[in-house]
Amino acid sequence: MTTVLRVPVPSAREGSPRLRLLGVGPEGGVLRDLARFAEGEGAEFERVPDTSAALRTLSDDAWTMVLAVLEDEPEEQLAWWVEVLRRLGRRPRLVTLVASPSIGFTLRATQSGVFEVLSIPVGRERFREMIERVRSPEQETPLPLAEARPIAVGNAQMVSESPVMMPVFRSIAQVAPSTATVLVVGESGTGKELVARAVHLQGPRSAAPFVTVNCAAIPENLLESELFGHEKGAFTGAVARKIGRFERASGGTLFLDEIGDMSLALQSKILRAVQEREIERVGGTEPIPVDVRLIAATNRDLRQMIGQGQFREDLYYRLAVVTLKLPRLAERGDDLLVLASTFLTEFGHRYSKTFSGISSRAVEMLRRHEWVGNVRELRNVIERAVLVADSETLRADHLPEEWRTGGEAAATPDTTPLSTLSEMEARHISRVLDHTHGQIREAARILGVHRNTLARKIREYGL
Amino acid sequence: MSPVDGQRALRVEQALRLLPDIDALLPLRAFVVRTSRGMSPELPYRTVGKRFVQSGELREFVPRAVARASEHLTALYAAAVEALESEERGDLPGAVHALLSAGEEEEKVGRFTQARAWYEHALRVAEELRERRPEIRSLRNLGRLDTMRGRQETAARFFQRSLVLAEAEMDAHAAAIACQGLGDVAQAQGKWQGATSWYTRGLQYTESDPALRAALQLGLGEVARARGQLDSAAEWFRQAGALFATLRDHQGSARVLNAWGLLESLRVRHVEALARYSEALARLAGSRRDPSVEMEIRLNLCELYLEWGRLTDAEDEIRRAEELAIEHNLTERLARLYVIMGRVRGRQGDDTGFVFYEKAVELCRGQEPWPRLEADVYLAYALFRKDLGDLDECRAYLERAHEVYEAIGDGAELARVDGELARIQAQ
Repeated sequence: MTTVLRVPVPSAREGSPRLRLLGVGPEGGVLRDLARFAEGEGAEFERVPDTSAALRTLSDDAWTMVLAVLEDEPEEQLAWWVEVLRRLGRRPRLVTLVASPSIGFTLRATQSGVFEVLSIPVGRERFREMIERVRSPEQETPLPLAEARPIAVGNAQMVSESPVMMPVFRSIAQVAPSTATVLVVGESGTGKELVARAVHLQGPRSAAPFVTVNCAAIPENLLESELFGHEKGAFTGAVARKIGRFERASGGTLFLDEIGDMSLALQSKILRAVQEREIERVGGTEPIPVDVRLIAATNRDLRQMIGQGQFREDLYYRLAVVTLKLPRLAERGDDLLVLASTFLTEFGHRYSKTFSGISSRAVEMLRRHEWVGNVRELRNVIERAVLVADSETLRADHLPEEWRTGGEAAATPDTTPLSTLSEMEARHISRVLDHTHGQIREAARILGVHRNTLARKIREYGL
Repeated sequence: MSPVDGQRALRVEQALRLLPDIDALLPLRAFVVRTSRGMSPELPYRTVGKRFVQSGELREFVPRAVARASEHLTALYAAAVEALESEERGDLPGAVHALLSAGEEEEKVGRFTQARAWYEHALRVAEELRERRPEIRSLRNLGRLDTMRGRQETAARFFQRSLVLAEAEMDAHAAAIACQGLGDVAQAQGKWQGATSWYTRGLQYTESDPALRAALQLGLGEVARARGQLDSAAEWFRQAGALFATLRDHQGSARVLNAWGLLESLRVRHVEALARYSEALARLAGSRRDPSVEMEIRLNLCELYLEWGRLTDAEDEIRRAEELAIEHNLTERLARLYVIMGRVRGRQGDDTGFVFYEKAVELCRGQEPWPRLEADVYLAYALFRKDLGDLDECRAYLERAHEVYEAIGDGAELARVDGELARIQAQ
């Protein structure tokens, strides 16, 4: 039977978003104190007795914070809470309530993204400080969404306000009306396929098919039949006659993505198809005429590959009649925010949410991220953020948790309380132990202490 | 992940093509896959063949691979010698026990054909004995293995025989396990009434065996769920969960929560299902986790995200599950995972999703074939092709599925495939 203690919400903080705190643990004791403190802070507080009830309650509604009393085996319970909250999507902050937590526990909790480890009993002042920290991100300055003027490319759109993209747009306009072969060069996620599609749609073959093949995604043993097709029974997996992508693109454009991942043998066959304008299905005997415009793309340095004997020079010159180079997202300046705003609106529609802005801290975090996966990565990050967002402003705490617990958070203003010397020492020892994969002797050598001293500190800090 | 500067990056598919697919190299081929590095999470997800081989690490792993192979052989030889010594002592039940242990060693490393050979051999020896318990255990192992491998008819025969023997011996524990096995077989065949009867009969033997009782209650809950009796299923899960909790059996609790997650999925209560799966994984985190149980939960989680339309989360979960399946050599589950990934790509309208079905087929047809699963893959592959409008290929894969289901005697699925074929013909 779930007993629920509800505390009425006074309007103590006009204008502040309402905080909803869920206490999980036995009735009375620390949670009774916290319920009282919460009332004083104008926060809503509800208590459930155990984890099962907590799960049901968390599933039902959006909560700002979970205050979990960890009694027996706190480490195990900590792992449980971290795992459960990570998956729930809506991300209430986790605060653990532990009687005399060791520094090691506190460290592990912090590394796992726990907002605060409170030692039981909890003082009112400590609780108030924590609530202030929770409120501060809510009070992040919202910045309005950046305006975008998208260019439609089929069902998708190209968005950019950056001068570095202007040469790309110009080149597309210049090359599209011809039937010249185009090589699009750029890192993964920079939008090579979108550019290829734009060239196709603005060209003379726009009414005919645009067929794509991602050479890096298709296993080598399947790529040939994917490109050229096969006759039934040509090999074990040839269950039916298959029309290849060259044939399917007839009259239109064939886009060969990640062409640098193609084997030399297949490169020769592509070259022959381009030169002779005919192909042969695997297991077939008749040559089949094909008429396609070829656009290829790569994230690799094909010239270097030619030097290493991994790419055919003659094919390279066939493909690189016109070369379009796409910049990395990091080089596109404010496009980051323009794109983020566009994706926010797009996913907002999809998930029935409305966004009016991005907070200053979230913008800061977006700017500091490396964006190895470029626009595609940004799109994924924003989609996830939309899923977890609970306000019209995208905030820092909607962005990936590892950004806040890892290095990227270090650059943002630190509002956590200052550490004691022991905490600093424990953190440093833990870091060195991670580095040595738990080897105490090696860790002691790096730290310049005797291994017995180190072993004692490990015990002392509960590392 | 990009290749190391100045070094040619070797992909797993290239490496596996280079190494002959012979018995002696099997552990090394497995290591190539296991030590390979996937794409970083920011980059698109691809099949295992597209990962990069870590040849440096591979060299370091060779002694470990050899040590592991040697450890395995040592265990087998020790069991064989133990069997001989037992016979010398006139302890033939002991010899059967040793032979069965050897089979279990083989099963642990996924060498199911060899495991079956040990079990059959043990059974032949056990059949000569007056003492019946070794025979019961041999039959039980064979039944369990065949159930897992999708050979339900033979599995049922083994469990039937073990039940008759156990009842004759008044061995309640063995009888309950046999009933559980028969229930599992019936459940796998979609014979819900039969499964319910077997699990219920098993319960009669579990007065003093709460762990087995909980497992049977879990089975009853699963059957009730499959029959659409959702409240009854929930009640069974509640009972099983309570028993496992009393026993502090985290593995059992995780299995119940997993089953409960499926129940919530059926009720289209996605958040609740997610919470159950998360709790199940968290329970496992606090125990010595059984990778196959964890993999089952993760597969269900992937399915849930797919149904929910959270495709990015599905893909993330698939990456994590793939690591786990590769790490623990869970071939059958890896194939099922690739089918889900193919469906994710299908939902995204990305026709390169076919590579995942192809990979799944390849895994099903490997050294240890999974014919039942292979047919399931063909069926899913056919539906993928159908959604893309490739009706010829769709028909071809349905015909393949038909052949395999017919060969293994799965009438229910055969009817489903024939239904799909009829719909295709009508188009």
